[in-house]
Amino acid sequence: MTNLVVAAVPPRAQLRRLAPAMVSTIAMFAMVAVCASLQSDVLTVTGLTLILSATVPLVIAAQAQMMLMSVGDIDLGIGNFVGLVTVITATKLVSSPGTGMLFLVGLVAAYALLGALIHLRRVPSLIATLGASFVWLGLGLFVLPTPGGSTPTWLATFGSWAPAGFPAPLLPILVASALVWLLASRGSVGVRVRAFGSNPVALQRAGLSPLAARVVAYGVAGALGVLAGLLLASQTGGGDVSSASSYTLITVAAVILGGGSFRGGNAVPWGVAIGGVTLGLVSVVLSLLDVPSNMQSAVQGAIVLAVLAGRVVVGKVLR
Amino acid sequence: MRIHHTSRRWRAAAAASLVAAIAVAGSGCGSRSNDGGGSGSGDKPFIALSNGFIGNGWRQTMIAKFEAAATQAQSDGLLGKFKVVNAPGENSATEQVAQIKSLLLQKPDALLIDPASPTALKPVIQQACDAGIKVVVFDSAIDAPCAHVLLNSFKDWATAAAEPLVKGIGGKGTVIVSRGVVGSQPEEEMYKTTQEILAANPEVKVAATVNGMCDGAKAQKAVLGVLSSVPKVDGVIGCGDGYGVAQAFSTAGKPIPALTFETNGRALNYWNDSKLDNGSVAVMSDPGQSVAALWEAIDLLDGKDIPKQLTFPIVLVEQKDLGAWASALKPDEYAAWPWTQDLFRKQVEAVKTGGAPVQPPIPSAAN
Repeated sequence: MTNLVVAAVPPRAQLRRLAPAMVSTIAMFAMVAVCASLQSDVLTVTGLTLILSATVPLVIAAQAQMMLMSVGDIDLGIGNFVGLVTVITATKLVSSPGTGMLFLVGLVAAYALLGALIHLRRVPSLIATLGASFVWLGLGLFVLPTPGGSTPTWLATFGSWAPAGFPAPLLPILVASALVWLLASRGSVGVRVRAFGSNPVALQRAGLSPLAARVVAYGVAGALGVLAGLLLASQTGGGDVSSASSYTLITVAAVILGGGSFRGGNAVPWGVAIGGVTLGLVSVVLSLLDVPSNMQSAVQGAIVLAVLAGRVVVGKVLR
Repeated sequence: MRIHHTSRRWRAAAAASLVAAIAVAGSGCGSRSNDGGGSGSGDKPFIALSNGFIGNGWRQTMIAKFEAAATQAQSDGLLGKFKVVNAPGENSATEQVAQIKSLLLQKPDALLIDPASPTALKPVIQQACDAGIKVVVFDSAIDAPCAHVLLNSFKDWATAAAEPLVKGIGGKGTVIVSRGVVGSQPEEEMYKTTQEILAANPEVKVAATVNGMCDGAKAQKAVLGVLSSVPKVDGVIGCGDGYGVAQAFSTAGKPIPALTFETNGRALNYWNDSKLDNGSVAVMSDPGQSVAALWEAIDLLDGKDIPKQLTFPIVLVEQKDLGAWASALKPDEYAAWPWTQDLFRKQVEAVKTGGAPVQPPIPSAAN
């Protein structure tokens, strides 16, 4: 069935689907090229490890955002959720690993529950996830009022893991994107989720449960959020509930850059990975360039806008 | 037909992508010409500063003072090259970690950090130390054993804010306490100090406690909210939010009590012009810490022995110095001690011997 659908898609539509990710890919390589021209060490394994490592949690969190955007929802709580996971990791997971794991599983369940709530009570996802974001923040502050704690040894070891042959941060990015791709773009679960995003009525007429589709999307997003939090904690060596608050909106930008849309129905895990890395690289480019200190935030915004504008232009041309 | 169609689209797409790529590369290269650092020379040190947040006047002053001092040091031949990087956004530790990592690629000799978080930078600081870089963290304590820390005592800050004020109102009366950023380490320490001082003065009653967040505008709203329910207020103990609190009192049509002003030109000039003489003070930490950290890094690179933990004096503006400070500052500029290499070394000696802290001169308007 999936094959039939793919075969029926005319090349232009496929092109239209892939073009935004291509723009981001070009932007990403342009940034790496700019970095490498300023500092040739960027292209070594150590250099790539340094510039890519900070983008890892962002990319995973962006995959979580993509799951929700593929059903046409937007998650305004993902930043605080990732922050809450770092807090749980830095406290409970260290003192009693079993309880800590239970807490993390509970958080995934809470996300699935949130999906069910949104579906059954017909609450707009914007409102529900915004409300949830304050719950995550509150829980995080309750568990760890001031930033601190430490990470479990295995996680810290993974954070400082530096194999000789290839940049370590590529591994989690590739593995997570591949998993999401298998699940959302290849598997039957993904078909249901995307079908729900593009046409929920058709899904229901086909005898499938829209509720299940939404709950699955939220559950997967929760699991990815937990993974992002674990990876962030491995890099920061502690918990801070507000450490990832900027992720909320940056992940939305990453999904849009990667070819997703606000309407739902699209799952573009590889595009999102590229979009996330592109956004993460912006601050690296800025610190390699000698941009005057007061201008840096503005230039960062301008670069993001330029890439997004490129995506919109391409989208217009291909319409 | 369709093939032709597709290839035209493809070309259009490629052209558009190229435009986007050029726009990205161009926006970067355009800013490159503003190379404030100058050319680095072989044996003179390259010092980088990473700042976690640029969105308030205090941080702006801190960066401006650093850039001025570093440019001067460069022309004096003490410094080869310097670089300032500010993390964008709202005090984001993750952004700052990413920026420090890319700074490491440029192999600075020393790295100065005003951290966005007291914990999240620990691993990256360790990474910097392992790469043989001297790390000086200023403005905030950090639990990283390999870094040198230079900071202002928050206990001193809270003491300097509350004690003269309590004395100014005659050791008795009603006060409002305006707390800072609740949940941060410094605030906890400051609030504890404030409570100790209040406990030692049992005749001073606390009418209300509000969250002013060390921000004049927020304190104004918070204080205005409680003003109608408190009888008569003799003082407001806050953390550099007096200007906003004064606005709240004049909005409510009440006499202005003793306040703790921020140390910027606007607040000091208001205080000076309004002729308040009721025990008000202006106290904040010193944005000149960045300059002191620069001197510390230069001395560390010279192999000088400097304690891991240095406490530098806060900026306290009392009634007697008010005129001098008020005339020396622009409205959005915060009072900063003008640290020189000489004064810095004297202060290090004072810390080592436990002597009285150095009192740098009040800068004149010419600076």
